Amino acid sequence: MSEKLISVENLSAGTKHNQILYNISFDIFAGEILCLLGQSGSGKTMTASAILNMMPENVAKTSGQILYGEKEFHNGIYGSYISTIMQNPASCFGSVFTIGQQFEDILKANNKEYTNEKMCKMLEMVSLSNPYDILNSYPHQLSGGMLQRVMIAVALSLESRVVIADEPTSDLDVLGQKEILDLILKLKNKNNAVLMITHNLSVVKHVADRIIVMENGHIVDNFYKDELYNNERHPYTQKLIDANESQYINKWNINFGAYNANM
Amino acid sequence: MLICENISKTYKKGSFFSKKEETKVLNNISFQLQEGRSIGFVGRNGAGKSTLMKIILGLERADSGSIIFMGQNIHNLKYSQRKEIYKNMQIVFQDPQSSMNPNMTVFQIICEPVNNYYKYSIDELRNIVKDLLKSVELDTNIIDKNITMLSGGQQQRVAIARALAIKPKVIILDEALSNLDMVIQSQILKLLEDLKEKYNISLIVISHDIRVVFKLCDDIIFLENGEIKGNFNVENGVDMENTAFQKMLVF
Amino acid sequence: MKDKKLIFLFIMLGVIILSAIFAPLITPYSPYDIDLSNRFASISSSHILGTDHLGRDVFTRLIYGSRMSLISVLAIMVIILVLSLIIGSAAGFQGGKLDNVLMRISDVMLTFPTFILALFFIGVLGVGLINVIIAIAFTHLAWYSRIVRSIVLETKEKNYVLASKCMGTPKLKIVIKHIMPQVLSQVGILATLDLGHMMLHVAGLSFLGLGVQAPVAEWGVMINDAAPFIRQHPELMIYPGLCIFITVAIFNSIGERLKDRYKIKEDRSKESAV
Repeated sequence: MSEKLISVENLSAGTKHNQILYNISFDIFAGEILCLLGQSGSGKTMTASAILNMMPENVAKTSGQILYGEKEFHNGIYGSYISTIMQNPASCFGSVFTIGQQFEDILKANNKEYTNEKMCKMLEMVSLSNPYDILNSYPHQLSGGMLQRVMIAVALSLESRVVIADEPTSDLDVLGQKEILDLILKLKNKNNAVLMITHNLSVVKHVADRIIVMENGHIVDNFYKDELYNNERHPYTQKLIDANESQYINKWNINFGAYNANM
Repeated sequence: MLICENISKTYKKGSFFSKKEETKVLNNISFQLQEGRSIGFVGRNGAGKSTLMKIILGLERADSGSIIFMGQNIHNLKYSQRKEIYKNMQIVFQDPQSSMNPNMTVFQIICEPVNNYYKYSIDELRNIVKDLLKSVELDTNIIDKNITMLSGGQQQRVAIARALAIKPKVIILDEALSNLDMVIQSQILKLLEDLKEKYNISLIVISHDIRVVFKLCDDIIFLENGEIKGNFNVENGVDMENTAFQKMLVF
Repeated sequence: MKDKKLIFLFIMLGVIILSAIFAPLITPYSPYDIDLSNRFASISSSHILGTDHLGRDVFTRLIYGSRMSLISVLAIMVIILVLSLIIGSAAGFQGGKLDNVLMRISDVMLTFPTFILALFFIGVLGVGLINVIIAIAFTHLAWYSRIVRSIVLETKEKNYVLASKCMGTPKLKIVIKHIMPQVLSQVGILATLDLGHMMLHVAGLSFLGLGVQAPVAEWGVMINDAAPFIRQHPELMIYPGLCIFITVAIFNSIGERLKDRYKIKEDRSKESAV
């Protein structure tokens, strides 16, 4: 049994009038990619912000607790323990400083080595060519996919135990999505884990080890990737699978599903 | 019905003092859309798909080449003369939130194109709008709701209803499905397939997702850096060896 | 969303406007009744705030003075809004040469401080309330046209305007239906912020003797009238000064609150200045 990095126990949360999460419990183990799958409004992003202790002001935790390793929430959690990759990387970088300056600040704040060589090496690891140019450019000069890679490079160099990726691919085209997913696979190793939030089953099939399906604030299904087709699934999960499969059917007689399975 | 020949477009960038940079967005694009067929454009972001769409609609001028829609060259027409063209060509944008005025109700939004071409009384208009809402499988009691009260999927359905309102022959879908989540995406795909049959509409689909394009279209063109890299139709099937096709075959 | 302070401010503004409209019902005197036997009367039940150097009731003059200030400010705003909406939307929506010409003219106007430019206009046009209104309106027109233009430019790129173009909606109708509501809501709020500023301009010019002329009740004129007696009767200057201060403060805080509430950028003119 590998190490439990984060465990969410009986988490409920909501605004004054509206409950958003109902008794959410799950664990994230070292060395796995866990996917939270659900439609928009199912509470998956709220779960992530609860783990990050960054819930919106009008939302309050009503019950349950979140353990990071053995401890409850403490301030040293950001950076070394948890880092994030967002859907819209452009909004995560300030616009008046270069990528290099911002990267350096993040590394400094987390007591990591912050030489240019180290940063370049990190950027090369996420297959960005010309890392020096990128360090000297401003966020608006880079495309969405490139910024997303810089985010991943930051997460990589912080060596955090858990990376939370909130819809990291939704704003990219399919090729960009695949490239980012391949990098996210790289983030995972024996010692740390990735929590990925997405509405796209194709993305899940590509990276996930374990899948949690959420519907209207409840966890309805929790299974390993191999069980996706084999076992009988919860009707909601089945609905998601069917919706995904139906898109492969077309009058051209090309079975995209077959290609997808190969990946 | 729509014939595009040798369309090229270059953007010039740079201020008054610096040297101007030129980027070629489209290079010699030619294609034809026949009556009753649908055509799809596949390519990465920045491959020139959206620029091509804007040129077809006459929102931007091509540097060279001609676009003939139902016998008329759209770029030779003044804005007021284009009305007849738009009567037969409508568009659904990627982001439903930005493509509809947030201060308007569903009724006002769907009425706008109808009012431009026909004169109806309010009661007739309400019936027309209700029929349109039914045909995109929406509840008719949302008719007086503000557009911002609806969910993303519902908003996109309203956008489709607006495009259908004046019964065009061609509807352009500019990444119309990419921002929706999977279940809603497949529902709207199905809706579009049905509507295409029912009203005999040709679609021009622009997307980076080959599944969407292959589901809706009879002709498919692969674009890469503003050039056509592959051109297939449903009768002859796809050349599996084509590199542009293989590249996009991700999910 | 209820904003108690905003409601309070609107009530205060309402009181001022109502008292200006129903001035004859509030006080029994006329602002022009000269009573030389009763000069510099102190506060009493018959004269709530006393009388001035010509024996006129100060309270009456203050209330009638608010009429002048409010009407002139309103006139200025209407002129500015109408003209700037036309100029700004023409420049923004049409673009090209028209835009260039109009915006270069407004650039030239923007280089002068507004008060100095207003003085210049009055020097050319002559003294008088109407000329003051015209002068102030014209000096602020450039700034407003720029704001309108920048909002139009921003809205023009919105997809719903493109969509409406693709529906064959005539250009004028697009401007009226899709662009104007955006412009009006934003410019309207910025205008409330500026009302106080304009009021200061009017009072300031009247104080200098360039605007409203002496016998008429107006706050700036009253301060000017009281100036020779500042040592003996400073309160005669303080009353109208306080009136100006309070009204300007009300307008400004309403503007600020509305601006914060609807998150409107104030520095648009600078943004589009390049």
